[in-house]
Order: sequence, then C-alpha cells, then structure tokens
Amino acid sequence: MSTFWWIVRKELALFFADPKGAAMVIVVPLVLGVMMGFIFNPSDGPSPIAVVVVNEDGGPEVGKLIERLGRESSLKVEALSAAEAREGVSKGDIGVAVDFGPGSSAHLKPAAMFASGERASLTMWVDPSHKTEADIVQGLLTKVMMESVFAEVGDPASQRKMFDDLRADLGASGAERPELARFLDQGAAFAGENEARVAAPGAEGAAAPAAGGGMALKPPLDIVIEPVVAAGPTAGFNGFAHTFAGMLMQFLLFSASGHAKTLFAERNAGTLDRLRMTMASKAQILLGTAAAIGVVSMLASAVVFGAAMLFFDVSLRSGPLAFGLVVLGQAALVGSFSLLLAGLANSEKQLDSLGTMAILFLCFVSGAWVPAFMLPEFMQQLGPFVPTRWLLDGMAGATWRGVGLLHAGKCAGALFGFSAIFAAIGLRRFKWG
Amino acid sequence: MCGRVGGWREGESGVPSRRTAGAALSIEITDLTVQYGQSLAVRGLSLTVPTGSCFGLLGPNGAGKSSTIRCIATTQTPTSGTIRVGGHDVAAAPAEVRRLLGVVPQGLALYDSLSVAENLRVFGGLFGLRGAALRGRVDWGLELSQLGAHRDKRVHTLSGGMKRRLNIAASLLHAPKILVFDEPTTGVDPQSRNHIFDMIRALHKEGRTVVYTTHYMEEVEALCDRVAIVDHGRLVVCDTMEALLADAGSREFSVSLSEVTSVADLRARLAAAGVVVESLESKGRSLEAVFLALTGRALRDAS
Repeated sequence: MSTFWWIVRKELALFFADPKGAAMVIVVPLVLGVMMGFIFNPSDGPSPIAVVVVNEDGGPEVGKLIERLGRESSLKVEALSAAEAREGVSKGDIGVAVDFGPGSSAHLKPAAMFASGERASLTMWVDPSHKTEADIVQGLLTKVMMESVFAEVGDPASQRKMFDDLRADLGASGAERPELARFLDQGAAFAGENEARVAAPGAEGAAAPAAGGGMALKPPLDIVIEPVVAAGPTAGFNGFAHTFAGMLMQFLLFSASGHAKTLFAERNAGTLDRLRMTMASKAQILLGTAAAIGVVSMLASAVVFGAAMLFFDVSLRSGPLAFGLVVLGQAALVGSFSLLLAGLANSEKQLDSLGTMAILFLCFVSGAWVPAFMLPEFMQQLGPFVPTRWLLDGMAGATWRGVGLLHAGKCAGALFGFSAIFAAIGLRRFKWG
Repeated sequence: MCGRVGGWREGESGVPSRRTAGAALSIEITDLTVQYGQSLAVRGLSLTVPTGSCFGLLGPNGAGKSSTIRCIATTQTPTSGTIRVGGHDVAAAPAEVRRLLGVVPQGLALYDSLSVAENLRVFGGLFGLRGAALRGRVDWGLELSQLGAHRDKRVHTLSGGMKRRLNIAASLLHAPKILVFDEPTTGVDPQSRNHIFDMIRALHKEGRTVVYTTHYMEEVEALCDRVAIVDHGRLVVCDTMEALLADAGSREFSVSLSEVTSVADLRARLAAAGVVVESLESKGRSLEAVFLALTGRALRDAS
C-alpha cells in the first residue's frame, strides 16, 4: 500500500469511525430522493393546476365555457365571486383567477373572431409567483375558447347567423365594399341551404348538428403525443431516477464541503503538520483526502441507486459500465470540489458561506431542483460550463434515457476535466499553516 | 558553532533507507532566518547538534524555538540559511530528512476517533512500514507507551498522560536516528512525566540524538548534556551542561542524607573533609518526591 493509499485508508477509517454519520451520508440522499420523487413523480400523475373562475356575465356561453374548462384534466376549476377571487390572489391563496366580466357571452361567438375595431377582453388575476401556471392556464383557456367557437361554427344555423350578423355589422358601408357584402350574402345563402338540408327528415347528420352537420371545424392537424426515449418505446421517464441523482449530487457536494472543513480542523489540531513530517508529500495528503471522499461518493451512489432499482423501478438502461463511468466522474468531481473549497477559503466561516453558495448555484443551474427549461435563458446557456449539468445529464443518460456508453463517456470526460481544474486550484491555493 | 559532527551506526528500523554508509548524522543550522510578513522570528541562527547528544533547546516564548523546529522538520521553508540533517539538506532532500527525524509535536496530533493501534498503524504506514515490519513496530510502540492494554480504545477516551505517550510513540515508529521533542510533558501527571523521561533516556542510551525543548529548566538539567539558549531569534549561548553551569559561578548540589541529623553536624563533617562551604541550608524532600512516594511511580491510566 503506497503512502497515498495510507492517506485514503486513514480518511476512510475516520469516516467509518462514526457509523451513524457514515450511514447518514447514504440514507439522507435516499430519503430526499424518495421524497422529491413522490412530489415530482406522483403515481396518479401530476396535480392539476388550481384555477378560480368568476362569472360576472351569467350568460349561457360563459357557462358552457366554464363547463369545458372544468373538463380539462390539467385544471381544477373553482367558482368564486370577484371580490373573493381578487382577495385570494392578492394574499397568495389563489395562483390564477379568470374573470368573465359582464357581456362576455355576447363576444363568445364566431363573428367576434372577424370583428374589427375595439376588441372585448377578459381578465386574468395572477399571483406574480405563479406566472408559469398562469401561462399554462392562458394556453388552455385559449384552446377551450377556440373549441367552443369552432363547435358553433360547425352548426349550420350558427353559420347562417354569423353571416347575418357580419352583414348587419357591415350595414350601409356595404355599398363601399361590394365584394365583402357579396361574399357575406353568398355565405348566408349557402349556410341557409345547408341548414335546410340538415333539418330535412332523414338527412345525414341531422341528429347532431352541433357536432358538425358534415362541416365541423377542427384544427388542421390532430396532435398525437408520443414519448421518445433512446432506450426504446417501452422505456419512459422515471422521476425517481432524476430525483435520486439530483439529491445524491446535492448531498455529496455538501459532504465534500464538510470534508474540506476537516482539513481545516486537521490543520488546527496539528495532525496535518504531523502528516507532512511523514513520507507523504503535500499532493499525496490532499489528493488522498479527496480520493477518500470520492470512494465514499461511489459507495453512496451504489447504495442509493441499488435501492432505486430495487424499490422504485429505476433501471440502468445504458448498462452498468456507462453508469459506473458517470459515478466515477461524480467521485472525481466531489473529491476535487472539496479541495477547491479548502483552497479558496481561508477559514471555516468563509468555507461555510462559499460552500453553501457554490453548492446552491451548482444545484440550481444544473436543474437538480427545477427543470432546466424553467431557468432564465442565460442560465440555460451556462450548461456546458457547469460540471453538475454534465453529471445530471450523464446520470439521466445512463438511467432512464439509456443513450449509451458513448454519452456516458463524454459526460464522465467532462467531469474529469472539471475535476482536474478544481484539484489543481485546490492544491495550489491550500494554506498549510 | 556548537558541538561536533560524528558518525552513526545503522539501526534496525525496518524502514528502507537510501542513506550512504558513514554519512554525517546531526543537525547543522547555518545562518537560519525565518520571517513572517514584517516579523523576524529567527535571525541568523547557527548551531550544530552533535550526534548522540541529548540537546536542550531553551528559550522564552517567541524566542524562535518552534520556527527553528518547524524548519528542521521540513514543514517550514526558511527565509534564508541552510539546515542539514544527517548530512541532507532540508530544502533539497526533505524525504531523506524525514526518514531520519522523529518529531514529537507539542500538541496532541492524534486522530481522536481512531483506536490507539489504528493511530500507530496509520503513522507507521505513512513512514513506509509495511506488513510484518509494521505490525512489529506497532507492537513496539504499544510497549514503549505502555498502552498495550488499551490498543483498541479510541484515543478520545484516553487520559492526557496516555495521549502524550501515544503522541511520542507515533513519531518513533520508523526508528528515527534523530528525535526532536517539542515540550513533550505539557499537562501530564508526575507518573507519566517520569515515564516519558525514562523513554527518552532509554532512546538516548540506544545512541539516538535527542533535541529537547521545554520551559521547564529542571527537565533539561535532568535529561540533557548540551544546551542552547535562544532569545529574540538569536543564539545566546550553546555549550555542555557542565560548562554552562560552571560559567554561571558557584554550584548548588542537592544531596539526600540519611545519617546526618542537623545542619551543624553536616557542616562539621564537611569541614573535617576539607570542603569549603559557602552556605548550607536544610530542606525537606521536594513536593514531587513526596507525591511520588505517596502515590507510587506506577503509571495511572484512568481513561
């Protein structure tokens, strides 16, 4: 056993000298991963977005629209008064409220789509901290409104009424725009004939005029949602694979920060000086301690993902070798991160602040907490320069995505590169006395 | 200059050594200067520790003792000057120097959460010992420190005196030729201190060079044959113990008598023997002697 390995052995002996503390390093990320997994990957699908509707109009069109909104699986609709809704939003109890003001029904007609001049509107009251939900509600509301109007356009009687209304709106100015007046007249005549044909006994579609009467309007293309995963059509996203990787990474980085603190403690206790009086070089002492936390991180990864495979249906779709490569890269990153912190900080207090800040940044930017697409554009562009993004990408690739060994090698290579830089800075800047 | 440079015979350390036979073995410090920022801790210090001597390095706090020892131990780079240990330049060949040196730090530089034996194993391993040699030296360390019965106890459960003894043993596993003790008796009971003295005497008797620093003058008088006194980073004096005490004027001797009944009786007997006495006073035994007589010399290892 070389001097280097004696340093590693010493560190591991110290680590396991506190069995409860050692177990915590493994158990805590496991518990956090399970907890976050259940939050972000519930067995009954994602929770619907709560939205409050205020019907100040009272007309049948708004009523129908609210009914359609209620049928959306992504929404949980509740009706309140305007005052209750505004107060709830202002207090943060309600994220999004949609207010259908008086007269809204009059505008929920096909003719409104062609209306010129000042347009009618409805209001969404939004808690600023719920902007993402508001965007989703806005999209669904637009979809439901279009579906509602399209359904009406498909009804021949409504078609004729739409042309009549538009012709009436055009009024006397029809003389100035004869082509438009002629088009509307022809449209009304065509819709009238269609209405009479559908109303005739035994006519096709007579039983369901609202469903189209042979002329229902629909989006030009139907949308089919198909999950695409490199591992194949049977594979799917496993939220636990993501949360275990994220929580493990976060906890290991905190462990690395704690480990950097032990270097400071050794410096204060004099054991670091004593180690320097042995045959171990400075580099061996520091790299040995980093290697030990790396070994601990590999052990924790094996146990956490072992449990994830046994109990949460996580699988290594790129194979154990790809997973092993990423775990090795993670070990290098965790070890070198502890050296980086120990090198950059001058005191334990500085290390606490610096470590917490660095870890929170690395976790946030990597998407360990919230999906990366929700981050500001500039943060998303930081991706290639953030080691933890490579780590989570590598973990996803090795587990549920199953993108293969090459991808794992690429991610591990990036992690080794970052680790080399971190270790070099730590070795150069660490203050021995 | 103080002292002479002599030869050294190879011991049985079990530690691989690249030292060439017949090389000089002692400490030679020449014009050593250590500066921390604007503060000069050591100012052009020169001295030599003869091979086989028990060398006391004395000085008040801030005199530069610790800085000098750190330079000898290769953990501090001198601002200027050279240090040679066993003929090896500390700056050029630190690994060779560490092979020869066993430095017992002033603080208890041990791993509290590891056992006594595991501490010894780790430090032995880091000194290059392997396999049977390592096991043998760990057993030797346990015997030296009289901690064999506590080998599996964690260090934080030991008493202060036991930790001190372990602290010493951990530095000597590689059987170094030159031993540096930096205030090794701080905070220990008289029994442990006596045991530590016995350890040092035995090691010195085996032919090892000993450098001993302390604030307790009686410890230096009891152990050392040569003494250097440093102050303000400079060497004040360096000589044999006898010469130093002789230079200081008349001597005081402490003699335990069993047959003499009074001071007058002793004065009469000395006069009859032709001894000129400047002053004579009667003292009882020292408090430490009384303490040891009452509590015994056996080690107290209540952990």
